[in-house]
Formats: sequence, structure tokens, C-alpha cells
Amino acid sequence: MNTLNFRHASLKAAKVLAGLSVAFSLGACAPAWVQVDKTNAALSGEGPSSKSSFRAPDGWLRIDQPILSGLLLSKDGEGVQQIQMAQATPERIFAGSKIKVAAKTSPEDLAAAFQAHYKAGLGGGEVQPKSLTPITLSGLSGFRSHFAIRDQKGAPREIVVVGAQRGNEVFYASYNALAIHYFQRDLPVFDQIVASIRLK
Amino acid sequence: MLAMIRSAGVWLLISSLAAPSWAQQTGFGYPNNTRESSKVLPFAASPHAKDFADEEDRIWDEAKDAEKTIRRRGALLAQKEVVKLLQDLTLHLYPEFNGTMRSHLVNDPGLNAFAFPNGGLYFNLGLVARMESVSQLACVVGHEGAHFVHRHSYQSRQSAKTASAFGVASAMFGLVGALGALAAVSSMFGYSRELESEADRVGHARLLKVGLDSADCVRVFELMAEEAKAVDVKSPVLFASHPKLTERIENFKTLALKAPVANPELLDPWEKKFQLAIQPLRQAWLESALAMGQHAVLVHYLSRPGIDSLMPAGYRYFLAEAYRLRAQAGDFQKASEIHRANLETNKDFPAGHLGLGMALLASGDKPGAKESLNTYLKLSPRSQSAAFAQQTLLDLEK
Repeated sequence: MNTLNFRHASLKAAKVLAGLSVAFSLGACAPAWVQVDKTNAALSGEGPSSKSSFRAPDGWLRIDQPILSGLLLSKDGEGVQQIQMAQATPERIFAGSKIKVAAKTSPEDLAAAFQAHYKAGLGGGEVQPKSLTPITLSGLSGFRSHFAIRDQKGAPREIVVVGAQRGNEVFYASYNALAIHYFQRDLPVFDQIVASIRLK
Repeated sequence: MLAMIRSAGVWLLISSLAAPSWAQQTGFGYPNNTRESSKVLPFAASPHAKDFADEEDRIWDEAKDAEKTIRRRGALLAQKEVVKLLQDLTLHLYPEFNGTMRSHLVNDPGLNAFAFPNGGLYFNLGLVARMESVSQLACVVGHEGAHFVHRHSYQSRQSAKTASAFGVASAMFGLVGALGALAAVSSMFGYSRELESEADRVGHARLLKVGLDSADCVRVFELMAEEAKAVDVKSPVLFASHPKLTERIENFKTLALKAPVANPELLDPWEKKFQLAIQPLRQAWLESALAMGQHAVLVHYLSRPGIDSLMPAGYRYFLAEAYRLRAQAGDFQKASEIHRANLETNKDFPAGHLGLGMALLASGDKPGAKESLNTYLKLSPRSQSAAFAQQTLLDLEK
């Protein structure tokens, strides 16, 4: 009985140690904001899984989002402006809203799925479309969708999403900023990034 | 023994239906004895915030904040006739709460409604548009009103069990934040089985009192059960076999057995108002459900027998598009067939040609897709979708 208890206690201790070690290693590997620097081409130019490359703007901050094989860029803070890029299956990308996107979805239908995704995230709040056009993204037929929303505090924000689908993977880049002052100021930065995107 | 317990349950349900609601029975005004008594009494008239215990005061503040958020985000629809119908029905069922109970129409294609603890009642576009009669709508209004009158949010907050429900709801609605959490717990499925049953009974009794057809309440929950089963909803609160839903259908069937037949003189004027207000809303729901990716729901709902008499004339376009975008085995074929049949009677409908072109393309018929997309471009050369149709044609040339 004692032996069993001892074994049980040892097992428990081992589990705790293993848990701590996993937590420690996760903490050590947890993504952190880093400044984009010309001298570090890998930092500024690669997605975490090397599925894409792009030119990031100097002086901006970047953080990786490994679950989406994506990353986030911001200059003044996520709440002010953020550029997000990701490449993953539609199930992952639309996990929050459960929007379904089939493998043969057209660029226009994919754009509609992104709008629905944002609308679902706003609890049915209004998504006001501003423009929707076809584009070519690294040789793939895609879309560029521009729309306006109000966030939880009622602040107007504008969002541009560009995206394309290849097989069962969706690539997208989104720019989301406060409509007042920031959206127009940093839109050229986003457009430069989009122009530099190369999907591998 | 089991049979005895069942009969006792049925008897209890029938007696509670026969008796007036508890608030009326006691004759209390607002229960200002909240602090002393652990029993939460229902409101008998519009309450005053000064009488609240701290906890209930907090809940009302949260509700006010959530309501502000809903308005700020532009989540409410302004369809005047429908909003007026909802408000009129609310006060018809609960006249003593004029000024406190306020009904709103939410721009959400889902089949749901929720009541905030401060008397704000919210009905989704997707629920109102799918009601087939004013009595069905009144059944939902009566149910949500009962959650407010019987202070179910406050009761729920007091129990440790629902404290975890708030946690679950927050996790489920991470994107929505506080609004989603409060709405989820206050929704048609958010309370405990006992509180939901009480709301069903109280709402049902209110319908009887004003002469509406309380037997129609069964249909509302059958509609939900059918949809949950058809679209394979994984969420436990809506799953068709979940005891809450099946039990509630049985409860309403039992209540209906003893209910008197609706009074046509009292029912007909409401039915006319409902039918006039609801038609434009059904079109709005079709558009919203398609835009929000509810393809499986649309396929299920629009394939039902007898749907022709409920839906606007052009509903088959939405059925075809729902098939195309659901994209399951055989769906592109069905989408093409429905689009083709529609175009036989309305050959100059641009969106029909675009939908047909995209369905043919998805099913591998490139020549057919080209023909349909070119017809679309002739009919609607300057539309937003025209640029995408051209992009698709260029891709087909590659």
C-alpha cells in the first residue's frame, strides 16, 4: 500500500515537474514584440513558417502568431493600428466565427466570408462596405475589401483585407486602424507590404 | 412508479397553468424586501433602482452597458413596422411594464432571442422572420418577458452554478466580449432548466390571458429542434437531443392540451398586423443569412414543404446560392439545377446568371461557366461583381 502511495506520489511529482518544465519552455519560446530592423532580414521578411516573404516597415513592431502561421505588426499599439498576415486552413482562420469556406471558393465569396467573420466578431454590429475589387496576390487571383466598423467603445475604425486561396489554404493580410488620423496615415505602409508579398 | 412521477409532473404543469402568475397572486408591488428575504419575488410593476440590492443594481448596470454597446455597434435594425409590432405585443402581454420593457430587433440571422435584466428584450432577425404566426412570435415575447419579470438574471447570478455559466459564455463568445457573455446567459437557452420552464409557463399563461393561440408555442421549439438536427449543431444548448429542447416541446404539448381555443376576434387583428410587417423582413433575413454564411440553415429551411407560401417570390435564388456555397457532395449540381429553373421564368436576372456560372465552374463545366458569366456581364456590366466575373473569365483562359 505504502509502495503504491509512494509510486503515486512520485508519479504526481514527476507530472508536476514535467508541467513546470513545459510551462517554462513555453514561456521561453512565447512570442514577444520585436522591432523590425533593416539589419535583420529574417525578422522583417519571413512569416514564422517561411510560407511567405514580404518587406516590413522599419521602426514597426512585430509579433508572431504561430497558430495561424501568421504575424502582427503595429507602430503605435494594436488598438491604434495593426497589420495582420496569416496563412492557414479556413477552419483555423475562421475558427472564431465558424464561417465555412470550401476549397473552390471564389475570391468574391472569400471576401464575403471575411466580412461575415468581422461582423460575427462585432456581435451583429454594422459592417459598412466601402469598396471591393479583384486583385492579384503573388500570382493568385484574390480580393481587396475595404469596410468601416465601430468598435466596442463606438470608435470608428476602417479595415482593409486582401486575400487569396490556394488549395485548402487561405492567405490574408489585414490592416485595421482608427479611422481618425491613423487609417489614412498608415494605409500606404500596408499597400507597400501587400505589394511586396511573395507566397511560397 | 415512473408513470406516477410523470403524471404528477404533468399535473403540476397543468395546475401552474390554471393558476394566475405568482406576482398577481401575492398582490405585491415591487418586492422591496429583497435584502431580507432569500426568495426572489417577481416584479409586479415597473421597479425602481433605489429599491435594489447591490448585486441586482450591478446586474442592471451591466445590462445598461451591454445595451449601449449594442446600439454603438449598429447591431439593431430599424424596420419600424416590425419593431412597433414587437413593442405592441410586449405591452399587450405585459401592460403593467409600460416604460420598462423595451423590445428591439437585432441584425442577426440566428434563431434566438434574449432578455436583459433591466427589461430590454432583443429578438434576432432570424427568429422573427421565421415565425409563421403572430402567436408563435408572442410565445417568444411572452417567454422573454417572463425572464425579466421573474428576475431570472438576478436569480441566476446568485447561484454558483451560473457563475460558471458566465465563464463558459465568455469563453464561447470571446470575439464579442461582455455583450456576448451577457446575451448568451440571457438568451432562450441560457438559464437553468427550472427557470426556462418557469418562463415557458408564465409566457404561455400571458398568451392565454389575451386570447392568442398558445398551442402555436409548440411549433417554435419544434422549428428549433428541426434546425439543430438538420444542421448538426454541436453546441450542447441547441443540440436537438438536448433534454432542454425536447423537454420543452413536451411541456408545451401538455400545456396545449388544456388550453382553450384561441379567440378569433382577439387574434385576427394581430395576425393581420403580423403578416403585413413580416414579409419585408423575410427578404432581409434571406440576404443576411446568406451573407453570414448560414448556408446549411438556408438549405434546410428553404427545402421544407410548404415554404412557397411563407417566403418571398425570389427565395429559390437564395436556396441555389446556399447549395453552391455549402459545397457538399452534389451541391453544385443542385445549385445549377435551381438557378437554371429560376432563369427559365426570369431570364434577365443578372445574379442568377452569375450564381449559375460559379456553380458550373465549381462542378467543372468550364464552357457552361464562361457562357453564364458572359451573359451576366452583358446584363450587369458595371456591378461590383462584374470585375470579379472578368477576373474569373481571365483565369479560365489561362
